[in-house]
Amino acid sequence: MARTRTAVIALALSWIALQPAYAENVPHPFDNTSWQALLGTHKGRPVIVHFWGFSCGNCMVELKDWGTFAKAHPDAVIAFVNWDRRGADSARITSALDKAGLGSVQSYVLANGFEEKLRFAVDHDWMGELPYTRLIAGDGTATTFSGAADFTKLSQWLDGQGQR
Amino acid sequence: MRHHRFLCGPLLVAAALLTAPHRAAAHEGHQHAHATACKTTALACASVATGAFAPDGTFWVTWTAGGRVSAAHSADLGKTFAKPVTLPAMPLPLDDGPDARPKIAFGPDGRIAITFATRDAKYNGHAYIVRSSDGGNTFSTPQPITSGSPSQRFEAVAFDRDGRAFAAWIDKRNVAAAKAKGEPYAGAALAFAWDDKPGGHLEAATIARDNTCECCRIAVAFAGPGKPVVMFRNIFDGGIRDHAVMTFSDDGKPGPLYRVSDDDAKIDACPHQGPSLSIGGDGTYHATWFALGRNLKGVYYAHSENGGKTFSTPMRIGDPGKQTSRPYVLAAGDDVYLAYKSFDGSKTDIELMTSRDSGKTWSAPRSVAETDNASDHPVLIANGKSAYLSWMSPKQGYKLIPLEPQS
Repeated sequence: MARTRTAVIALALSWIALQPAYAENVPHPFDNTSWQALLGTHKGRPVIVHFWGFSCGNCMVELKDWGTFAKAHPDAVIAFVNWDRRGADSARITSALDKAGLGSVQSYVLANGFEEKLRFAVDHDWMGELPYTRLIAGDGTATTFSGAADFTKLSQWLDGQGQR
Repeated sequence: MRHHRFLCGPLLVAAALLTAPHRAAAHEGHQHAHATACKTTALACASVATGAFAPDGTFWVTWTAGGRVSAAHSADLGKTFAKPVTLPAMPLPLDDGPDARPKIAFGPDGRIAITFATRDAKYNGHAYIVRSSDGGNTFSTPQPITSGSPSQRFEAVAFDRDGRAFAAWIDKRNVAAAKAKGEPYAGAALAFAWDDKPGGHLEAATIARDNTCECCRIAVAFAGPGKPVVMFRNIFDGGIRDHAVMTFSDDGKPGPLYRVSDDDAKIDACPHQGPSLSIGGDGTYHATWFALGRNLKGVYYAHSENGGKTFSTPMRIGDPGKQTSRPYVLAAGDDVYLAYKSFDGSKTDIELMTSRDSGKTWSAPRSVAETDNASDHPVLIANGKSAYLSWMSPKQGYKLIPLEPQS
């Protein structure tokens, strides 16, 4: 009996140990410093930053397409920022991204606080609509997709940056 | 556009006097907010709050805090409040989407309706109505606003002159039906229901319009007895998410749909910013909205003098470089008030414009409130001919600010 219990505990522990994707991809709070830090970390490289939300039906519909895109461009730097106001559940974000094949993207969640200011830092013209995608070229030039992404154009942009 | 000089000295004094008690309350809220433990149901802990005046001039505010909806009334314009009524805890969390808020409406004979929505993990909404028939001394338990629908959001309730409530909301029953048949269905639908009698209950819902935007608040105003008008973001042919108005006929049925503006919003996105509508005593429809189109982008205002059939050329509101957002319009007495949010990179201002000729010309905007932190959307409310800004910021607390037309 005791041996069975030990075996069950051992199995449970090994199951927990086999969940690195969840452990690694806990979304980071997106706060006052995040936007500049995100760009600074990848300076000289193109960065795709996608803003999405559970409150946005169009975002959820295209999530799996983003998963396909990420798989086709494994070297691309892709960040996903959940922009649901007043904070979405981190575990749910991780689960949704993982399910869509986006378990390896850099994941952020809107921090509680001054949403207008955080949004202004990303793009002065962004009015908060979702989905919203900001493409930052290696030279710092920004391109915006407001609404559902056009993955053909996205691939072309990335190709133009020397990324495949 | 005609611009007027500001007449703000006396107003600011009045505002300071009226809001002073709130500053004290706000200080308390500020402490709570910074402790990141502001989880009580107190107004100081609210994330959103909506003020309104009862016909007898009593001020009411309803808010969400601590996961619950509460309401309280004040006989002295918000200086002091009676003990709040906190509605029962609901099985699902309250809808915390950017355009969701609890609302309160008043009818004759002490009738009050508070409405709010909860939501599930997929952002399906579940809208409720809570009623009082004794001026707010007692309230009913929350009742679902409708049945047979997987989702209802952005509920808006107003009372007709005869005391019947009119409710409109964004409904997904036809979305679910289409999905079950494997058919496509864009957006959601505009649904409505009337009370069966004054003091009665909402009848079964009717779909007024299929294929409306599913993620924005809607606006309801009355053009006359029995004639509610609903403004909402419609989905026109080709997936164009432009605004429309629908005026109900005398028999309480939805009339024709008229386009407010040709924004040409061909975009598969959730703007999360719905419109605002107010109807003046002269029958003029005043509409303001956020456009995300190929023709128009930003915040706009237009008015209609023929019952919504046609609208004036949209007037761009605010500074394009300042994230102008969340417009709200109110016709009170002979004046029209239009407030919106403006963000300059460090602080948010609530800016106000006024019109003394039914929306034909407007004053220059001026700031009536500001914060360097998060804040709720501005809401304009009337007490007879007097207009007020109802606004909440976690740092400053709830504010009821009297407004004056600018000459």
